[in-house]
Amino acid sequence: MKRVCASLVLASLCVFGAFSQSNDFVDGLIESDSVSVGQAAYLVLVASDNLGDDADAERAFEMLGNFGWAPEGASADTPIRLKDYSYLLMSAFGLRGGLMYALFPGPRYAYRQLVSSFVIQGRSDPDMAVSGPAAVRMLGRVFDVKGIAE
Amino acid sequence: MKRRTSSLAAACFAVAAALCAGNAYAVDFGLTISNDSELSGGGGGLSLSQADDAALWLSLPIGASSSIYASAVYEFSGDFTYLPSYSDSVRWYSITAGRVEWEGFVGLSDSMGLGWSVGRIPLQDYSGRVLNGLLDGATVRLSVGQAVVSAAAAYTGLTFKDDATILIDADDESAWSDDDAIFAPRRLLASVGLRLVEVVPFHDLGLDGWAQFDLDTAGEAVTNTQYAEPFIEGRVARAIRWRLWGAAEFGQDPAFFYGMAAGARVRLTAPELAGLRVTASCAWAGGDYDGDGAMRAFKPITVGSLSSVAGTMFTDALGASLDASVVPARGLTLGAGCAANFRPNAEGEPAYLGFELTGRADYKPAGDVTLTVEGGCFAPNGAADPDASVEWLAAASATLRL
Repeated sequence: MKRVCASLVLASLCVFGAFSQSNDFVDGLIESDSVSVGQAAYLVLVASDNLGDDADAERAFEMLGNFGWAPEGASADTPIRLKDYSYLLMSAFGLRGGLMYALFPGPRYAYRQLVSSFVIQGRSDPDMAVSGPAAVRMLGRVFDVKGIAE
Repeated sequence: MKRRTSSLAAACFAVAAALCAGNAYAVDFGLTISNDSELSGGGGGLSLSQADDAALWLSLPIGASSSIYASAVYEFSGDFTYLPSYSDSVRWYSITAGRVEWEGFVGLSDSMGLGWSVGRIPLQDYSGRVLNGLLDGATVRLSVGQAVVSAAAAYTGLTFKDDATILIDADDESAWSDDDAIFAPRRLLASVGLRLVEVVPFHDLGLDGWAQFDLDTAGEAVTNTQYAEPFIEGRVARAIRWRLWGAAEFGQDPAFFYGMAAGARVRLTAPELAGLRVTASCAWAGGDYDGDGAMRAFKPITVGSLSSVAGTMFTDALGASLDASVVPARGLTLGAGCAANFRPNAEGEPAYLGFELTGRADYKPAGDVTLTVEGGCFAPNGAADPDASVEWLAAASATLRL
């Protein structure tokens, strides 16, 4: 348990060290069992320098729509699914996917890509909700993958 | 017979589909297509072996602690002999269940957990030399502190004989050469195992026990065998891992007999040197060294080979090999290896059988595409077998995950 907590703190420092976000947002995110589309958008868009940290989740969700990365039929408060969060990470950080992702970019193959590159670890399915700690850990691993790719 | 297998695959998918109906939002599915081509020759012979398959799979979480994975496999396979005279053997299609598994893990307390796996599941002993295959059965693992206790049971009679490769007695050998026999000999397998994790610093100790019971009582022979396999594995430095195992086989047909086998492996891993990995290993399967006595050549449950080109079976043989691989570029792995095969005996015959060289390149340009090219040759010892000649093999495979 101690090791899990330490990993989480380390991942948080890694991720949040790269940019500054409001303490309220970070606290809310870490305690969340199910991250909303708006929260995920804010977290990822700020981390990838697509959005300033003075924005909020509503504004981040709006930006997501502008980029064309918003999950179909979702609102800012809808819990984000793992495959949609994967697609958001892949798109925001410009990660290179597999052959099928190159042909058909979308949540399905984004999820597969992140599983194969170990950004998603442990028991998972593409439609599961994403907890706050899991979202932060995945974001931390994306920084690692991005570093290796570059 | 083929209808029996197709029905089994259909039934597996029907069960999975029914379960999906209640969890449709969570199901994941895909198709994996692969091609394997193998050209081989030696002694004036030349032949091509071709296999193409498509595996349709689905994965479905069941609650927080378990999931179902089901797959059905279509396969085309053909063996074409060009020299010395043209002949071919083509199986245009076979449809069977691939891995079909309900697996899960629940934590019973802070230091105790229970894992299980039921269906057509991969089963193997510690070394993979006694049993290694996809069989119908179940396995459970109970971890208590530093101890992991496991048990398994499986049935072989619903697996294609080419996939199961069971050759324990004369009945199995006649079924193997009988074109009308499609399924593996009917045998029941059972196992218990114990692994003690890091009871010695950085080392695991364990004991695997396997038994197979011949269910085909109408045949020429009824052969039951049991195997006890102690092992130790661990690391002696950051970069060096090693393992040592032995296996004692006890059998009744109905006369008592026994056999022995053992193996060892040392692996050096240096990620900082272009992912260098060097592996030295040896494996020995005892022969019938005492003539008319109770000792016989070691017979594993599933047949395995000591080397990739020579095809020396893991029975009455000794093999030593050295392999190295590097990762010079992202997604590319290059490897080379050499191996020598021996047949120790009490009759004073030459023990050295021959020497093998192999090379391999794996390229994974993306997460869903894998390309492999490999080749090798085996130079036999003319003193051990005057009729033997140099054998070679070149193979290519490609896999695409849709």
